[in-house]
Amino acid sequence: MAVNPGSYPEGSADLKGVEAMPYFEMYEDVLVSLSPMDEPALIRAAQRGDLDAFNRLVLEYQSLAYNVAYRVLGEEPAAADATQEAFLSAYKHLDSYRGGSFRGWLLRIVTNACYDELRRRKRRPSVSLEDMLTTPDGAESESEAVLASPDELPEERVQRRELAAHIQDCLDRLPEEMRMVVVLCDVQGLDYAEIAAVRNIALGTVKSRLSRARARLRDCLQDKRELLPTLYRLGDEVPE
Amino acid sequence: MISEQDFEQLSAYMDDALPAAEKAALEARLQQDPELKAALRDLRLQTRALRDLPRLKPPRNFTLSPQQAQALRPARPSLLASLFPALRLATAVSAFAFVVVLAASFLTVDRSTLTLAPAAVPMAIATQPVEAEHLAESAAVAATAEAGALATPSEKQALMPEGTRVVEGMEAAHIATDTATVETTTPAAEFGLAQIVTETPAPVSTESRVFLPSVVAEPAQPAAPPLSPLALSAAVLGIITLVLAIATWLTRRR
Repeated sequence: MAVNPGSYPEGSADLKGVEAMPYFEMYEDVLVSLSPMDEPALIRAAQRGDLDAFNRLVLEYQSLAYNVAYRVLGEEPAAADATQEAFLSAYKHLDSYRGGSFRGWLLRIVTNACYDELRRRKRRPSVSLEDMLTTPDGAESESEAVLASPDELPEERVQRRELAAHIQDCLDRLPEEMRMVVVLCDVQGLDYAEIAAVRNIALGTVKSRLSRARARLRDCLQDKRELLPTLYRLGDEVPE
Repeated sequence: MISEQDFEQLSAYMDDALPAAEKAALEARLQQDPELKAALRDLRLQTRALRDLPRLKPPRNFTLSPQQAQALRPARPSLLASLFPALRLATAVSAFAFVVVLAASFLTVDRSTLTLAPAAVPMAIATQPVEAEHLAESAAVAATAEAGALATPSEKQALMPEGTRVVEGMEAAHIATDTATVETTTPAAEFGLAQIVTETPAPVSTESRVFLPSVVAEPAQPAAPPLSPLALSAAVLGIITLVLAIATWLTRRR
């Protein structure tokens, strides 16, 4: 898949230096260069209108935002649109950030953008050309976008791709709110309190929605048990 | 078959989100119930599979362009930036007013020195005789009292209307000053004039003796002209202009 290097604001010394680099190298470089200590300063600068600072935050969080959007929406173009909308909205409402977890604040915007996309999809159901060209299990769409591990064998990669496609298919079958909670908890690793803050719901609601979502996923994955790699076959003996 | 409630407990147990009592109870059950244990194992596998989902690489960067940023958050001028035009205008107006008032002040001062200088001397002269006359009168009264103390009541009557009593009084004042302490105890107090003498403090008589010759001998010195209102205004405007100019310069630098 062709990689769009994206646009960078002019006048950014930090970004200018890496503009000529290939996208992936530049992306990695920026991720490495940001430390947790930089974040509050970057947020303050961004709130003062420093676009370069905001774009550095974007580069730091765009992978998380895109992955959440993809797992909730299940398709790349929609996930990219939702991610872009989320960052536009975040920049617009940056003044509403009053401290605390910036990741949580940003994820709330991302999940809201996902809901907007889902509502739009319900109003105008359509199948994109890209969706029609991909394989039914969606393996192709994930295969080229994955941040591949250099140590991974080709066979393992194929297995992992299949498993991911099955899980994504099961996720797509979940009701939206359950899908959101299970993506935030089981895929992204947020704890109950973070999810409650992101979705503005009670802890008990998180707990119950997550339980029901996991139960449905279990049932869905059991149906495709034979397709799962051995390691993940539910009901089999699991190596400790 | 695992019940929905058991599954919810297993789910919370796996996330370490179960209260201590419920956790202990569930752990006891897990030891005895293989089906429950298998469900927990499957749940862990499932969660691990989800956690191991490949992390997707974003298809592009989602950084904002300056145009997008401008459209979303039009740059609001800071308070200092919004104050700058007002400060600049205020400085200009203040500087102009300062120049005008300063020029007016100079012109007024020149005229006043030309017109007020001749008038200042007579003024000084006019004030000095009054003072001299007042002092002379004081001395005269003292002299009269002195004379009254020495003269008979009929002689006192003759002394009062005399035209030359000032000169005589002045001369008498010298004596009266020297004998001021004595006068209060003289028998002349019986004639009522002693009251005047005692009410006139000795230093007055002394002053009359010291200053009177100087009034007569030296020409009157013109008093230092006080700061005119225009000059005062010019000074105030100058300070204001300076402060405004500094504030404007600092604002522009920011």
